[in-house]
Amino acid sequence: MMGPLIQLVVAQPLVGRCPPEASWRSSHFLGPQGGNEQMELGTLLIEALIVHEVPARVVRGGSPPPQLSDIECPLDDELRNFFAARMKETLASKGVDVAFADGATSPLPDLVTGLLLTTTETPEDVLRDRFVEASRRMAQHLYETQTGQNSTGLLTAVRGQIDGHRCFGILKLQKEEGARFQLQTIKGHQTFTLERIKQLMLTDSTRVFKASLFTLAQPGSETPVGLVSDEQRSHFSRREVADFFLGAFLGCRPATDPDTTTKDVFYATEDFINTGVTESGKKANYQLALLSEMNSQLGQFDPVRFAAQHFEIGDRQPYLRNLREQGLPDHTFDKDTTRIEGRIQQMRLEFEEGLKITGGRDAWEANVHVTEENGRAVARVEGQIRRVG
Amino acid sequence: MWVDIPELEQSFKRDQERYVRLAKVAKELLSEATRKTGIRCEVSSRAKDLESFVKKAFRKQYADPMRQIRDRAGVRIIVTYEHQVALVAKLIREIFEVVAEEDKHETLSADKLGYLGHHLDVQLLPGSTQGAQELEGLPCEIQVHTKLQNVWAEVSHELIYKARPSPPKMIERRILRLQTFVELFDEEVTRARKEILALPGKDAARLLENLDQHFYRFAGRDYDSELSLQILSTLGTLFDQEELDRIDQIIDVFITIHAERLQLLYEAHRNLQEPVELLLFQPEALLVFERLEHDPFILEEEWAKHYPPNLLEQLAIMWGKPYQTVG
Repeated sequence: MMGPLIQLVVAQPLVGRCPPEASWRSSHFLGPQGGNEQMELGTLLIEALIVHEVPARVVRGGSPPPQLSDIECPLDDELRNFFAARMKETLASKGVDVAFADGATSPLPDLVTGLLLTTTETPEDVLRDRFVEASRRMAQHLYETQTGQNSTGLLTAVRGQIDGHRCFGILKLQKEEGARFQLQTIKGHQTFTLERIKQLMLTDSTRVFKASLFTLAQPGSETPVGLVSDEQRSHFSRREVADFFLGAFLGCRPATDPDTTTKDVFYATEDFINTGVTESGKKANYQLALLSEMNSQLGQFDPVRFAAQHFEIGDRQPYLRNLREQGLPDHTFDKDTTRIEGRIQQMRLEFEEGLKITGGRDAWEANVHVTEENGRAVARVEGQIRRVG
Repeated sequence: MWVDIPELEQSFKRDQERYVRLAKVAKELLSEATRKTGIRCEVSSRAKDLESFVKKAFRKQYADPMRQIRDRAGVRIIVTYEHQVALVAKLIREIFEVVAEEDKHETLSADKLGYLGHHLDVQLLPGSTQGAQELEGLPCEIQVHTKLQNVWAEVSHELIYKARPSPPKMIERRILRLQTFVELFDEEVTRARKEILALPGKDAARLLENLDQHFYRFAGRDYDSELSLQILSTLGTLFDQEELDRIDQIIDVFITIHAERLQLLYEAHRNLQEPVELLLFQPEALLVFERLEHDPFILEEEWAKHYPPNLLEQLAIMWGKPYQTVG
């Protein structure tokens, strides 16, 4: 037998709860547009790259040593554009703003910063030698620090320009089973030939598994900023593996505190739903989706994907613009819900008339339906009344 | 007094290498400048050879042919539309020092025979071209013609000079009619083009008209205009009427903001042997980039109704924007 059905018809409701304005402004963000905006990926140009093979470590010894190239790989425009496109693709959609961590044991921060601070007057051959040497040390470091859980891959270091300024990238490339990475000798130097790289990248479907890109925060600055994308980092499970590339290898940390960013984006999204969305049913659905996303097992939050999956098309770009205008990231960031843990368990609907409906997400989804009729919100609540008072 | 031909030959040879270089440098400057301003045209150059130089000096009975012959280095620019002649002339005034200028439309009276077009005697601006200091001060003649004016220049030269000194009235009248036809043709083509673009339902053509000049500036190559019109008819629906009314401004602002980025993008892909990205070298790519900045979600949804999503994805990746296939 069906329980009571309560239907409320009231003015536009507010969903969730907006904190006081002052409490959700963060000073941690890189700039008013977020780090990804500062790094205009569309302007990325690859000038040179070098590839080293880093085999998987066998726990009980006997691992083959890494095969390190002595010189940069020959490049043509096709491969240059290919690598630029793959880096833009992965970093634009999954790149997280990072900074070098204080006290990192990895040599990467010093190596990358040293390369970025090389003056523009530095002769090309000197820059090339420094780049080759730095990349070899990076590959050796990767080999020494990775565990048996890390698979064989190609460590590729790239140098180029972004927004007309020097940049460096480090990629880990991975191929399906059966890949063979062999160095060739050209005029006494070991490297991968252009043909071999093309075969690996264009025909053998080697994929960019992890990517990073670093440049200086602004011309004249000595502070590098970076973007890192790592498919493994989107999952909380086995975090020690997930954080290997970012922390142990690159010596980086997220540029902003994930718990603060998550809290700020959560409240900004809630605020957008309350003030930027007018239709009552949409408000409730969007808020439910936000709670669901915050409670999911995904280790990262991507506002673009979130908007595309849950918002109607006309609300998506205004939402992202709203985040940007508030100095919040409109692209992927590490999610940490510690500071909103209690808040994201409950769905709340608050009406101008003083009525409130509150409930757990699951109960809400199963029993509450919000629509709009003649400009008024209609909330249909279905269930068994436990008590009145 | 006749010129001393052996001496003239000696003088000519002493300078010839500089004039060959000047013709080449002037052509490069003009090709670059017209491309950067989006004026589609053909630019050619030549240095006068010894034989035609000596014959001209002899025919004209110049006292000082080395100074009086101003077209030892010559550049010809051929544009499609008459209004572009003035645009190119303006550009020439900006990048050269103009010593003399003649617009044949203004100087040739209605009952006089002659060829049409715009001529400018120029010199390199001091310090304007790296490594070309020794060419500064040398004269170079630049002719700017429409396509039909160019044909008329060739044909009229034959007709007019052969008919001189005093062609029968009947023949002179027929040549004048032809000359008038050339002027009428260019004017009518320009007018018809303008009127067609103003017709209702020509949004795609108007978009292409605007995008073409920007595209040419960055890409410097031709494209499939039928494909452009097809895709632009879809992209045009992404703008409301208020935006369409000021579409030129919207595109100009976008291009101004992103000029450097577009330059880099096209330079990186210009020399590729294979057209990996099908739409990059189509003018509508510029409007796709503009919409990616404005609202990629609406663009993606509309695009997917008409064209393969991967074509848009390629452009989005090149532009450095995340591409969503969900929603």
